Amino acid sequence: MREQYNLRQLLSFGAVIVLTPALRLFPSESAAAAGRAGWLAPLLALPLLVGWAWAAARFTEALQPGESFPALVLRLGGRRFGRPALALFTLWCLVYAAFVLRSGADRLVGTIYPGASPLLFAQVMGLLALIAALTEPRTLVRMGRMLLPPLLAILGALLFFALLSADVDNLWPVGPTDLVPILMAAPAPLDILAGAGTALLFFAGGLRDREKLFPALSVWCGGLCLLLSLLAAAVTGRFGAALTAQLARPFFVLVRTLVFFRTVERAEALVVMLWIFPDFLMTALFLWAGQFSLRLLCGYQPDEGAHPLSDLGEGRFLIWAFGAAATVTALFLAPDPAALERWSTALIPAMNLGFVFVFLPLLYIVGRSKK
Amino acid sequence: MRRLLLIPLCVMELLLFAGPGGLRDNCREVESLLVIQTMGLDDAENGVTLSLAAAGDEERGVARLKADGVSVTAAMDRIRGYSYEQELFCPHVGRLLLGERAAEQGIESTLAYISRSPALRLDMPLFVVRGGRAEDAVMNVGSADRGICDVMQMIEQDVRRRGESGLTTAAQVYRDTARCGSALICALEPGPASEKLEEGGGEGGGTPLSVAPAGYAVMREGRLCRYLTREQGIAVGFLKNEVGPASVEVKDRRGSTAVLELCSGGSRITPLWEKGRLRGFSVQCEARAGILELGGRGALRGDLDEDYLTAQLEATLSRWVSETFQASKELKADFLGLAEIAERSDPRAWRGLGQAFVDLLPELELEITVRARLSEIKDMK
Repeated sequence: MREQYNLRQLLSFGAVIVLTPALRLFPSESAAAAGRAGWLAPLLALPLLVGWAWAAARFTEALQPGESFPALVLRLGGRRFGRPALALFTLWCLVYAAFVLRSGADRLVGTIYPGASPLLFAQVMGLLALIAALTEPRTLVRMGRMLLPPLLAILGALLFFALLSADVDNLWPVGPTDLVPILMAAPAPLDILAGAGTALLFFAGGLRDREKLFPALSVWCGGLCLLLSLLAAAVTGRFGAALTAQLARPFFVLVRTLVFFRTVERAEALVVMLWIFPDFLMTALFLWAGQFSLRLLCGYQPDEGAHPLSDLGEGRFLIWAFGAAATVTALFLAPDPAALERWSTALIPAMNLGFVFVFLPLLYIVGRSKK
Repeated sequence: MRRLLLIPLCVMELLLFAGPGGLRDNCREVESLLVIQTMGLDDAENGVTLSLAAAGDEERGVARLKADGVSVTAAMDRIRGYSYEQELFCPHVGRLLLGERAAEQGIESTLAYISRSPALRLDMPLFVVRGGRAEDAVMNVGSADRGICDVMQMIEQDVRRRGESGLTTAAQVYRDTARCGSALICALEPGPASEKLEEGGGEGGGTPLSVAPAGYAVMREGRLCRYLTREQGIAVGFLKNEVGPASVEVKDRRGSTAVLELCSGGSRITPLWEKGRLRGFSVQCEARAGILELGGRGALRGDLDEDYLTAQLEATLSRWVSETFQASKELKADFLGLAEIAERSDPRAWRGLGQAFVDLLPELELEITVRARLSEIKDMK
């Protein structure tokens, strides 16, 4: 894989894609597990995340010059485990991309387009993400870098107004008895940050300054832990832990209740539409990684360079096939809201943690043991 | 050539946008919408009575709609189906009025409906219509061109300012019920309006109906169990440190009525722990007030008069605070959030209480100290 972008660009891209699971999951998960102390869970998870950052940096060191992440999976697995591991990785990319498509569509329907079909949104987003997956990773990474400042500015303004009207009694007091509940809530930030951070490594092959990855990832985790804490504090501070735990989309419900300067209200449509961008980048990332792996599995020698859309050589028709498969999977993944809730709160986090903390370490050990 | 494949794909998507259930279905002209601002909910024989009101304008007057249904959604559908008004638009509903009987039967399902609805806001204030039905308030309050929405806007401003009652949002009621088992909701009392309609105005002319804030409705486990009077509402303001310029009537040395206006104040509630046992609470209130009206000659005749008025104010406030605590004890309803105060003061002792706080509540002692000052100088000494 050709070196195309620097660490700052890649981590900015990562910060954008983190917003997808962060806003979907974190406030209600933390409130359900730790009540009013849930906002402290990211801070408690930080040491674990620094440990993950170290492991991720070590794993990335195994990348050879010009090698992509899927190619690394194939190489580490060796003759015996390489292809099954890559097949599993491809399947994971397919399921995750389909889930992001489906949950993003559900958010649009639930917040601003009641009565519309989620399938419509999943198809449109699937098509757009497919087009993005046909381009170079550099394009996606640079897009993430450009999107981060406006997204953070808007999120910051929303959190400011929310915290301004938050009730401190909803967040305090927190004592030693809350330690166990906070620990119970820690897997959520771990899943969100380590999951998105590991997905970020799919593009690590194109990184110019890879040697600084560990300190940069640690700082990245610290900043995003703070953001998650503020997010949970804003929502829980406004609604209380009991209600926050019951809400399916707490952040967007929060936005619905905000009044800016006593004049502007009900701005949720604009905010929800903005959150299409993190969904788009996340889906495109997984489509890119999935199609690349699929082409490797099928014996092609893919490259990440720019090709005309009409170029179907070197298995590029599989990109279209993979995009179509992800969109079709999204249509059947969760036929009803209850199934989507199950995917969102149980299956995807469990698979994500399994991928990060079981699959990749095992692969690394297998790869190392061959030497 | 293959790039051209994108064009039919895009066209297909555009067709999907325009089709049934597509995005175009969600686009509506603002002029075609009837923006509902006030919603009323009552119990009905087979479900609920839903009443809706939009703000009035000079051309069309106030739109008021009502229907029964087995659920809120069914009632809403019936209103939609049988209305000749414009399309109902509910995202700007600013308040929900609950009939007394509906509140007595419980508001948990109503809170769940508000939390679930993408149109309604969780920060919408709730009100209970004391001794009446919400539909009467929504359908009959006001005149042809000024309805409940206009009246409620004034009431909300007044309530925020005066401190005799308080606005409680749906989210706060949900939170307080979950946390303390009880919550307070602003109570409204219907009554004849101060205005008199011109002949032929309104329904049959005569005096129109209005509503005014009347203390709080106490909700225990989501059900209305008692009202707090306006005076007890002022005491709640002291205990929650939200004191507004409410007026207090006391007797002066000569037995004439004097009216004082509270300027500021608050309280400090301290739990009284005794060997790990919660004995009660100590409440220290402070108030500053000014003289609005004096009976008799209309002027103070020296320090003795002032001291007497101050003592009267302290005694009155002390009585109101005591009555409010007494109501909490009698109802076994911790609507003042005392449990949290006790927990915060000594978390270890709190964990060792051994029984639910509401069961302990009736036995708790109360020490009230009120210090008042007539510090506010109006235009006349």
